[in-house]
Amino acid sequence: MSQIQHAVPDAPIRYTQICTRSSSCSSPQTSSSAAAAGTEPPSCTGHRGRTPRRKWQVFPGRNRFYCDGRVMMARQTGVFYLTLVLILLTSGLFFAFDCPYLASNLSPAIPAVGAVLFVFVMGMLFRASFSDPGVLPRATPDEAADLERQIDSTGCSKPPPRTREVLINGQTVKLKYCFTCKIFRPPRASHCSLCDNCVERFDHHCPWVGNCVGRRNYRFFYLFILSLSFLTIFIFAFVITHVVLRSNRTGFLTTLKDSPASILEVVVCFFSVWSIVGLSGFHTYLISSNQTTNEDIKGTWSKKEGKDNYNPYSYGNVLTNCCAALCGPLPPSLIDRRGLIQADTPQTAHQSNGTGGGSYAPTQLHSHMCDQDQCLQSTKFVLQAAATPLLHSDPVVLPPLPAKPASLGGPCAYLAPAQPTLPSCAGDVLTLRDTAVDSHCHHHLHLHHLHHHQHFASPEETPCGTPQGALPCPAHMHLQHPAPPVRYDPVTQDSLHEDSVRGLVKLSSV
Amino acid sequence: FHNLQELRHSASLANKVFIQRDYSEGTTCKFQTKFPSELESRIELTLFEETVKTLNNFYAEAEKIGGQSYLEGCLACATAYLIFLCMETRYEKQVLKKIAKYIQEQNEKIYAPRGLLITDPIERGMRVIEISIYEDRGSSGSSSGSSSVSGSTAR
Repeated sequence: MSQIQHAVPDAPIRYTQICTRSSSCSSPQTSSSAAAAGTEPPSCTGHRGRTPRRKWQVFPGRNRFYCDGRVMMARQTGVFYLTLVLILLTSGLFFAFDCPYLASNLSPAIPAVGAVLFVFVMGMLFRASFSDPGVLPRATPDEAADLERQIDSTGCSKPPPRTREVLINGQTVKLKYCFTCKIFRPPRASHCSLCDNCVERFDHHCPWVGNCVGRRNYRFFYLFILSLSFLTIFIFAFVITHVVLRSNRTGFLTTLKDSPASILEVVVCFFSVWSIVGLSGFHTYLISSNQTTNEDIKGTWSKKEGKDNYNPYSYGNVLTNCCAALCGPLPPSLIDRRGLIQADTPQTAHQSNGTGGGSYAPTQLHSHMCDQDQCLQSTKFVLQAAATPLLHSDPVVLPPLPAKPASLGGPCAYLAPAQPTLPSCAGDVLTLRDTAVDSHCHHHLHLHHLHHHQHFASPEETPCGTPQGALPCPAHMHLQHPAPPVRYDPVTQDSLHEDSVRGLVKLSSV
Repeated sequence: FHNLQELRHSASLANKVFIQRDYSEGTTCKFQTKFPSELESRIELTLFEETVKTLNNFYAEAEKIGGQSYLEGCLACATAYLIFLCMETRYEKQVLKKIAKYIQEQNEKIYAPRGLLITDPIERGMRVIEISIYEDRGSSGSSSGSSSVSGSTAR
């Protein structure tokens, strides 16, 4: 079959596919045969047997989804509830205690304006918190493989293999490669470690709002803090007015007895005003100069960096910058969280609901080989081509740590035809003979483990240049660790695996 | 191959080519017009460039900051963005519908007869235009893609 023939040189790609796919499959593998468990991602079986799942259910980032994918937030939402409580409490107390007096004695417009402001604040808060900030979906396995090939082919030359330099409006901008998402980040995009996503035009991660602030929700965030500063000043001013007016008539202490909430409101507003108004001012400055918080903090476009350093994204004048940020077009969400996961059989039309009411035109033949299909095929290939003793129904006993067994089995299995010495050592590792294993084999295994995971371009970049004992590589040490064996469980190991991979990268990256 | 149905049933996926983004003009959506070497034997340079340039124009139009986008932005702000519950943004209309239709058209008329298939960039997070190259499963060699079978080009 031409597919398999083509797959052989691509085996590292297939191996990577297994990693990406199983990391995005959220439900744990429970079947006894580790190999078979690794092959069938639950979404495939789910699709055939039960109702089709939506894409948000297999979203790889650390986000939380509510209302069947309509609402998207970060994982830690505690501070967001605090924000909600503060705003609701203060506004509620204002409307309950101060507004009756103000409406009757001053003007009924005051509660009306207050109500409008309050509704606007809440609307903007929800919009900023619940919408997709502009998350970039992770690369498909084919894309990642293609990029790897490109990186490998350039070798180590200037610029270093995992960066690209682009000339934007006369300014050189470096694009970095994101190891988690396996893409070259577009300019101004950044990877949020809290949400584990790359976000377009990343501003910052706001815990108060419970979400990242990026391209798609920056204007909502800005309008939220702007309107909140107006609301805070409004409440502060009118509560003071209320207390003063009342004190003139009935005395200060009686006023406090009649309207005790006013104290609380004044205190909350007083402390909020400084921070919120300050933040609004800061973001107004950022908008007018078309910078992100990220860029400002890092001083990317500051004149100190160099005389020729200027912001290439700025339109030149303040008004255009403001209009572009606030009134510019709102791009659609790229992650299609409410879309249905496609079947691998070629269907003519696929159901997908875009977010925010928009809908994609049904297109035929999209993703002819969808992720599941590739995953299935790749794992089938691994089963067929791999040395079978490595991946059979007997439980594969492994050291309990970041080194993912399929990944170990993968490259070794792949290399089996080419380098016959390896399978035996891989077999040794897999059966947990730690000290007895050939140190060269470990080294070799580590090299290949790294090679296939981090895809290092040049040998000198890998830590295998260093003596084995000198560098405390976590995966390396864990391979030798004589801990009690643990049943292979790819899902729990996967996050650890990713962390260890990142750790290894940090250790050995230039 | 004469249409997408045939392509699906009788061909097998041989390779995928990825057209990357061109960031030389900033963060606006634009794709490189560099002709990938894998497509040299499959499709004419002019047709390919035409497709990519048209796509780039569509995206540029969608992201243009001008009168209409300001109007939409101000109106939306005035209604606290509730208006988007009823209507979709201009960008969505442009990007999702118009481009999807264009790509489908191009696939049917130009690319499928040559054993190629363009995937809408929105499906790939607007990072790449993915062009899948299909090999004829049954026959020994690939169909003569270089000969211009269908003369209709989207001009």
